[in-house]
Amino acid sequence: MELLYRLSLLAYPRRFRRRYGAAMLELFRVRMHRAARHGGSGARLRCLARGLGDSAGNALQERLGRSTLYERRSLASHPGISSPPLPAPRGPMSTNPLLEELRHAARRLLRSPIFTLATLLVLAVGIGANTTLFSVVSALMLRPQPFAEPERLVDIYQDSDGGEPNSTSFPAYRDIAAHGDLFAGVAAATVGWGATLLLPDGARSVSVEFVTADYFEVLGLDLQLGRGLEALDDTPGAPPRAILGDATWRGLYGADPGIVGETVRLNGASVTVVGVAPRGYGGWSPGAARDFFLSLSSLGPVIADWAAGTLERREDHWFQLRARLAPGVTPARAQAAMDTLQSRLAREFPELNAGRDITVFAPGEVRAHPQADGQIASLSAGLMVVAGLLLLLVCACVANLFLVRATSRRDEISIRLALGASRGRILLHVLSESMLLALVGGALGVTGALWGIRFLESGTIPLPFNGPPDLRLDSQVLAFSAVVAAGAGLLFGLFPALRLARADTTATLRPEGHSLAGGAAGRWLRSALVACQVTISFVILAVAGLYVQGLANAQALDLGIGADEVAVMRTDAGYAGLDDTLARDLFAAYAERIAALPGVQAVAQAAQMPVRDSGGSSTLLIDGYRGSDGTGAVEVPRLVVGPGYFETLGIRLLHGRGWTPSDEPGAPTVAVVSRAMAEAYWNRTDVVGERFAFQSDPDATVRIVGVVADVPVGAIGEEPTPAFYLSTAANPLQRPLFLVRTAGRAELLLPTLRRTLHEIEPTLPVLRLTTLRDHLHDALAVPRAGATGLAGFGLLGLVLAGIGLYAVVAFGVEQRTRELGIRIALGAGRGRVVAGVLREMLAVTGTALIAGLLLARVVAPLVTVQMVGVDGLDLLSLSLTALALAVTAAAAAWVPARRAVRLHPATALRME
Amino acid sequence: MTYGRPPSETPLKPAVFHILLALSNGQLHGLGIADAVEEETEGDMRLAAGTLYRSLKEMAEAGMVEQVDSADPRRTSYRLTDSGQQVLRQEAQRLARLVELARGRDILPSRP
Repeated sequence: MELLYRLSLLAYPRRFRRRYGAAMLELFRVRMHRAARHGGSGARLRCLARGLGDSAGNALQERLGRSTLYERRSLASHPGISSPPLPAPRGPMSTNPLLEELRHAARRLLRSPIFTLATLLVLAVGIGANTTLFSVVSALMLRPQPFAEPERLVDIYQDSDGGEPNSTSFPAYRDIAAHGDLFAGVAAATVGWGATLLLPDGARSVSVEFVTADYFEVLGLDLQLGRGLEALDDTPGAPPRAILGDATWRGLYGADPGIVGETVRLNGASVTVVGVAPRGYGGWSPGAARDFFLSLSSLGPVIADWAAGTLERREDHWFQLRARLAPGVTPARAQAAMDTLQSRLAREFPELNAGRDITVFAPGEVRAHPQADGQIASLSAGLMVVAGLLLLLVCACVANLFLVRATSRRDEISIRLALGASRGRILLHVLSESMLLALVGGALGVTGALWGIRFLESGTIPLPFNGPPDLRLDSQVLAFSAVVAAGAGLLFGLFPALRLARADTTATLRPEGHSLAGGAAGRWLRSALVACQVTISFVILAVAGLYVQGLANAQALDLGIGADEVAVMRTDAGYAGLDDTLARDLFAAYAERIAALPGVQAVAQAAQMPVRDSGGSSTLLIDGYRGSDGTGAVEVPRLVVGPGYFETLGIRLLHGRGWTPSDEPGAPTVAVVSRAMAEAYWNRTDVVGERFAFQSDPDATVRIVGVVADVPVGAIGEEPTPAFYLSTAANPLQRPLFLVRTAGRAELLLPTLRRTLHEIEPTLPVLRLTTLRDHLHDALAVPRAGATGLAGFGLLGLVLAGIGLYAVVAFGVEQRTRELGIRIALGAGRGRVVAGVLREMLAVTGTALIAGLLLARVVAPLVTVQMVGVDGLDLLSLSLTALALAVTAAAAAWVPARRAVRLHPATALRME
Repeated sequence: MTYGRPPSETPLKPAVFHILLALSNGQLHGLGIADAVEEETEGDMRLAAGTLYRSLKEMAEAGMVEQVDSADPRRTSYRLTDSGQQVLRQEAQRLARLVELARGRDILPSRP
């Protein structure tokens, strides 16, 4: 703390410092000591704050050469000054001039509550939005990972088919890790996996990554608790073990240290927790908040047996590598060794490794992934551009407000100048208001950002993090906000302040010469500012209109699903340890009981939800079809559904049939295809009887027995996609989804579904319990968020534009009050006077609207790429937007115009 | 050499008055002055280091106080000069006049 005070002493002129610095420091020390004795650290902090403030204020005064001995002649006794005489000071008299100035500024601002509140609100929004968006950018791009000696860590990637550095195989990892002379250790991880965690009150989706045992050691991270993973945990067949992420430990388990040694159920498997990851580390991908770090031995139990097999498969490329260089080893040397290794691998495994260079990236070169980094950078840039635009909008508006406010005080300022106040003092005087507003507005904005961050973390808007994001208001982000706030305060305070301080005193004191901020240049600047506001608001509103349209279209789309009220429940036989036959019988019994319930019209099983549930896809060979790559192999989404599925969901059967009892296991495999698939590969819809085969088993052909109407597979509004359906009879489900169509409202059935399941088998968990309507509602979450967000921004822009326009017109009216008064006195109709005032504003608005229209035309195609049924700007939404702006402009201009007109000519002539 | 000062209606800054008052009892160094002022005003006036030393600097230039150097720069003391005594008396008289005015209008109780 003493160091800080010492630094603040540097603000004084050198001679002063040399003479009195030691004594001042001694005084500070003594006071700090006393404060500590009487008040503890809080008192010390206050003492420090006072000391720093004192230095700031007095150093400035000393440099300005201000006298300390006598009071300035009291300005309060002069006419025309609006500020009242200083009231009696309350509390300890502060002798700090800077603090005094701020206090006066606060008083002045409180006397104009509307101006202050409006400015604060506007600033809070601008700074809050900036802070929120910057926290995303910080998490994505800037926040450093808390590794020990990060300059010794390199990232190793192997080229994919496309020749771009990408993940590598586990056997290749072993080959790389074998270079013990180069690397002190090599960690590998496969990321981006999800699993279902069973908790006492239900199931929850969590994000996991599978890591090698030395992962934390190589990265130089110390676990908070537990001993961590051991070499044994890298072998399949070993018991599954996990390290808990810090955020999850605090959030889900209440930071209970007893969690170490406990087991958790992930996807039905029992996994033992052996440690808690360090605070501030969220996983391989920057900005994420990983829930679990699982041992490689968990791959089998948690995902599937075939997943565990990846540890031996060179054709899988699942793993990302990070290595710690041995002492004295440079990245170049490691790269040379990798080149040698690559040649050897290309010789030993030509089909798999030929041409796949291994690249060693220098420390810090790769942020998340060589392929993704570019996208992340451009996304971050995009975010900051949006934030910057908003801030510009905000500053333009506030600058206008300040200009108007400044001019209303020009008389007072001129008198002060005439009485000998230095320009520096005037500058301080005016800047103190803007800085104070910026400070408070910034604080409010940061508070708002807390809310904004929580909103983003909730996942309503999908963000490019590999898992739930970990957004923080850390020192970096707060420093950014402080800079933005200070910059804003300087920006919109300095300009009018400079103009005021520079004003020619004689000119402003004379009645006519109001060249303050009202000269031609000044007027042009203000008009330009407002035009910008209107333009930006127009664009935002137009785009918002597009989003709203897209949303409406998407909601009105015919999805091919005829049923409205469908209840959905998913369970997993793995939790009860049932084999296929037992599971099948159990689920059949369950379905029977549900079907017997009153109101239930139909029940069916499926492996996945219709629309936007990630299912799988298969590579098929279709006779007589040649794709664009010359082969007959095509990748087609695969859905597994049970008998009655199509009837339950009301999906239209176009040709052939659905499942019948004859499609039992053992009978030849049959499939139903979507109309799009039929059209794509056979060029007609009735393909009943046609066949195709799986690339993995070309001899076992599949016969098509039916064709159904198209249902969106990935997203609502997508082009009709080929898809094929297999029967659950041939592919019994361990984790079935039950779809139940009811006559009444589907939500009412949900508790019964859960209860019935527990009656049949209490150990079975309910992993998902929802309705089809809610699921489809969620499918539109992004467009909805986009529409709401943009509409909100648009309205805000509208309000800001309105405020800006008001300021422009009010100022113009005030400027020309005398002229208007003359006109009225000479007999001009009041209407014409108003029209004259409005003309300027209309010109501004008109120009801005045209500019906005052109800009919107450019922006719209970029935005509507993913939207349903929206191609470009349509006349209706444009007209509505323009109308909204015009109305706002008119309303904004109305009040000052009327005030001008209601003026008695005599008053107007007497004014100024 | 005395610093030309404006007419006597111009008040002293409060900090300067209190420093003079504190020194009227005898020579003090910086910390002593600050403590004395704080005590005399019953905690109301806590002189910040910058204000204190800036005032002392200018008071020395104006001839109101005299600096008594010592080997340790932190232990430099200050002493009231005759000119300083005069300024102090004049300011006290000015304040006394104001107090009389207030008494006359019953803002303060009259002397018994």
